[in-house]
Order: sequence, then C-alpha cells, then structure tokens
Amino acid sequence: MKTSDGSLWEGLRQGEKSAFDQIYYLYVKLLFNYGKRYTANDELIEDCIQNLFTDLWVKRKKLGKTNNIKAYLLLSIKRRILRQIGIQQKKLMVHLHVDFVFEFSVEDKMIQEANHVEKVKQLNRTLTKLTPKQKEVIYLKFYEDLSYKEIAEIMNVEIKAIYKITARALNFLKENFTMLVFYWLLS
Amino acid sequence: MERKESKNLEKLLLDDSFVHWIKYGNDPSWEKWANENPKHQQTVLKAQQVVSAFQLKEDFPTAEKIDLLKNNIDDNIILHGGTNPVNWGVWTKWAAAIALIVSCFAVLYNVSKIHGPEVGQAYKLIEKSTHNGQKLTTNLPDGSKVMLNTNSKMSYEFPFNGNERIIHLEGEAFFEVTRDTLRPFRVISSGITTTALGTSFNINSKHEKGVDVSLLTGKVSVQNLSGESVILYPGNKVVAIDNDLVHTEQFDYNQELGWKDGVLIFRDVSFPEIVDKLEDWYGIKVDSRLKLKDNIHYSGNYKNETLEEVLQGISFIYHFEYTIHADESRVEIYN
Repeated sequence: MKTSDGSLWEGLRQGEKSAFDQIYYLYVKLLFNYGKRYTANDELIEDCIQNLFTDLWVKRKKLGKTNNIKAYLLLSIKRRILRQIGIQQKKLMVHLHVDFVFEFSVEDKMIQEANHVEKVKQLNRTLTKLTPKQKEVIYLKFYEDLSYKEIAEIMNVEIKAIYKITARALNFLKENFTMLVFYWLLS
Repeated sequence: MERKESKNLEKLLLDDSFVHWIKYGNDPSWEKWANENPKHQQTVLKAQQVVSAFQLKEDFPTAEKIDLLKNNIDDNIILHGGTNPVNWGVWTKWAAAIALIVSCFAVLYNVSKIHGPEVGQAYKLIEKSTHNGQKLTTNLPDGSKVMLNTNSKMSYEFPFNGNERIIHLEGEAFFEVTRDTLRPFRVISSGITTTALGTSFNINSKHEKGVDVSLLTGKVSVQNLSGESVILYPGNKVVAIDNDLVHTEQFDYNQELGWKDGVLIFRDVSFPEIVDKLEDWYGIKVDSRLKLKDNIHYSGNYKNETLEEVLQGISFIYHFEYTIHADESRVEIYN
C-alpha cells in the first residue's frame, strides 16, 4: 500500500490526471467521513473537499514527497474545515470550540446479541465522556490505522503526548466498559 | 521477540505494526510471535475484539455526490488553467484505416435502413430544434443531457441502435453524456465525429469557419472525414476547418461555454458580428442605420442581462442611440 502511494503521488506531481483521479476516488469517502467528525454541515465539508482537490492539482508542482497520501489528505482537510468553522464561529461571536464526534455502529459484527443495541448505546454514552483529543486519537488509530507519528502530525502534538493520550483513553474505556466488550482488559 | 512477549495488550495497542496487523493481517513477524505461545494467541483474540469494537458509524457521501464533486473539481481545474496537453494521434494512419472500415459499415447500415428497419424494431426519428433567442435543454433516452443553443437542430433515432448512441447536430450544443462504455456516444456535425463514453463537452458548428469541440470533463476523440483523430482532455478544444483538425490547448470557458450559463460574450468582434449575435441571442431583428467612422472591435461579457442593458453597454463604445420595439421584437439603432 505504501509503495503504490509513493508512485501515485509521484504521478500526480508529474501531472498525470489519471493519478489525480485515482487519488480522488480512493480518498473522497474517507475525507468526507472524517469531516463529519468535526461538523454536521455537509456543504462546508464538500466545499473544503473541492478546494482541497482543486489546489492539489493546480499546485501539484509545489507538492513535497509523501509515502502516506491518506495522512497528508486528512491533515489538509482538517486544517481547511477548522479554518472554515473558525470563520463561521467568529461571525457568530462564538468562542472557538470544536468537538470530535463519532459513534459506534449498531451493525457491529461483534455485538450481535439480543441486547446489542443497548450495549452500543452504552458504549456511545461512554464515548462522549472522552475528551475530543482522546476521541480523535482513538479514531485515527483504530479506525484509520494511521501511525502514531502521523497522528502526532495531524493533531499537532508531540508523539510522546499522543502515546499518553491513547493510553489514558484506553484506560478510561477499560474502566467504564467493565460490563461490556472491554471486560477482557481486566483479566 | 522477547521484548514483544513481555508486553501486555494495552502496550501492544500502542505499537503501530501490531494494530495494523490485527486490522489487516499479513505480517510474518507478528504471525510468528502469535504461534510461539498459546498465551499470545489469547492476546491476539482479545486484540481483535478491541479493534473490531472500533467499527464506527460511517457517513459516506452518495455515489452521485462523489461524481458531482468530481465534476466541480474538474471544472475548477479548467478555470484555473491547469490541464494536460492534447495527445495528438500519432497512430493517425491506423486510425484512418479503422475509420474507413467504420464508415463502410455506416453506409451499409444506412442502406439497410432505407429498406426498412429490422423486424420487430421500429425506429423513430426524433428531431429537436431552436430558433432565434431560444435555448432548449432535453434528456436523451440513455439519460444524457443536451442543451441546445439558439438556431440549432439535432436528431437521433429512437431507440438507440444497440452498439452506439448517434446524434446528428447542426448548430451548437452542450452534452453531458451518461457513462456507458459499451455504447459510445457519437455526435456527427458537418462531417466531424466526436466520440465520448461519459463526459461533458460543447460542439459548435454555427459559424462558417468550421466546427469547434470543447471538452469540459472526461475524454473524447474527434475525427474528421479522412479519419484523422485527436484526443481531447478537459479544457482542450479542437477546431475543424475544411477537414483539418487545429487544436488550441486551453479554451476560454466563457467564450465556449458561457452561453449555457447565460453569459453573452463578445470577444474582439466587429459591429456586424455584434448585430448577428444580438439577433441570435435575444430573438430580435436589428435595423441599423449606424454610420461607423472606423472599424472598432468590441469585447464584453453580459451575464443574464436584458437586451436594454446590453445595448446600453455597447452604445457607449459606438456612440449610438436605440429604440426597442418590444411588440415587434425589433430594435432600431441610429447615430
């Protein structure tokens, strides 16, 4: 995956439209999905995606090398979305506060028992108690499978702090999920 | 491996390669580690439970939305002037040979049609046309969309023949073609054939100089009667004059496609050309008694503006007076 990322990116830098198209179709869903963690405003996310990809092509000659297109795009879309939300909130004279919101899926394979819906609800209630940073690390690590180094870049935090945030989040989940899927962590 | 063995699950979850392996597999060193000790296999099972618990609710855009965004992005790119150069058909000779065969078939097909359609297949010739001052947007049987500019005409047989979608065009139209790789979409206009699979482009055969094909998104090939062809990429335009294919790398969006967004555009045109364009655009008759001292050329853009507003703009340059007779659809211009 990483090697093809490198050649795809190189193709884009060389001006291959097909490489650009491929990158778009590979990552657009993921970027939209990530954007939804910051805002429920679909239009704002779509605008950011359009501008991101337009710039990606127009400014392709200025792009550096990368071996992880996903991490690059996630960071880029995050910056754009937060900037837009910032502008919106400034207009409304609201202090900048952006939460990171996600939910476990009810269709989760592993909780398919009679009372699984109730369990997912409990999981989701517990999630809301995590700090936005803890939620974001959990999301980028266990859902997007980024490396801790890449997560540190996206979140603009030292890598040591990322480890700490992750450990604390896992610990919190362990303590609050005693009856749930995290029961094993106690054993 | 010793180091890994000593870790408990929480610590393992802080290891990139471990989480990646749990999610996607395919890591011999971790597989070896798991097989070393039954305890490790227990740990792997738990890790799988944790990681699979992080199956989140996903908000993905619809396929239509994804394509729509892509079209917008491609449009933006064109407007920013960043596209690929045209790939000229270096295989022109081969293309010519193939085209010859194709056109033979086309003739045969037409002949057989004169003798009547295939049994059980009734073809109907559908024609759409516009007059002065009239534009028309219409859908084709395959879901493609056509916007016909003023004074233009197109026709096709319904239903489409099984292998291709053929449209005949006189005048100017903008096409948004529904993708169908099995049935190429061909527009034939003054001997120029434009072939697309799924794409959006503009064809203009209104002026005497030749046929213009401008591509907005996707990819098309444009072929003349001698079988020479050229491939266009978004932003490219080809002008076919007397069977020669002359290409411009980057077209002017407003000039070629402005009409479909209601932009009336004049680029370095003479006064008689302005009159022609106004008659065509607004569906009026212009009676000009204007005496011009010198041959001034005019440029200007008018987006969704009335005839009055446009006349006012132009009158500043040519210093004329005008009277609009709305009831007669007529305009008088004089000094």
